[in-house]
Amino acid sequence: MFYLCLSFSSLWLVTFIYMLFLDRRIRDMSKKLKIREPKRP
Amino acid sequence: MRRLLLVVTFLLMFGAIWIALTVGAIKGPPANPDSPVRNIFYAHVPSSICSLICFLVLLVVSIGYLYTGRPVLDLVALAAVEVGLLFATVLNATGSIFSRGEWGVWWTPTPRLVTSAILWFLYVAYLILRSSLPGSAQRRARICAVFAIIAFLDVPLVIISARFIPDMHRASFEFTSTWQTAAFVMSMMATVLLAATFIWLRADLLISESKLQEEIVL
Repeated sequence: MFYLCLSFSSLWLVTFIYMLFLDRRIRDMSKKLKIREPKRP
Repeated sequence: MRRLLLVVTFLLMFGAIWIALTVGAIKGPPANPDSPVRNIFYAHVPSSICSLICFLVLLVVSIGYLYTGRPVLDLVALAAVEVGLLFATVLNATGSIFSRGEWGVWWTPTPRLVTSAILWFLYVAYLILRSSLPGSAQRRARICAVFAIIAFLDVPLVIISARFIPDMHRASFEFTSTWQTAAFVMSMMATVLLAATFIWLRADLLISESKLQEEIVL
């Protein structure tokens, strides 16, 4: 059971890191798009 | 805000995994008491509830789209379907593994299992419909929204079949210790937050992609 616990925890940790990475990329992309948006008078 | 949500989800899920598989572990079936198969319950039930919640989100945003015609709502609907499909897949996969360990069969046509399988197929049908419909984006979004509203009829069927129709599938589960209750509540909260984060991330990505495409067209 301990190894099952350890493997699920590792899997979850990898998923979490990937989600953080994805969050950062989406945030950067939104920022760049916002800067490029034409300013309305 | 989203990062905070991610961290809270991470901590809750981490705690749920450790409590569920150590102090809150559920004993295996009488034939094999050491089997960890019954612990799948901690992933199966939250996934089923999340797949139904995603369907509810899909219903609300589809009605919203038909009412307002805002393209953002159509993108949120797509995000909800993708996340819902993920949880419906986890629901059916964990259910099959549990069924094999508990009753010796991978799948059997009982009302609960059939309606859950239909739920999965409806999500897939939505995605196929969306990618194969010809015509403008507005027409496609309108047809998909109508399909989503009709497809929602399966959700009450899943709930009714679970609660009121006699089936080999259990209608409820009794915990024998406080740790088990704690593990279940934590996994439930973590899975709901995870679904919300996934929808948020995916919807943001789709919105950014559509903005980028608009720029390319212009």
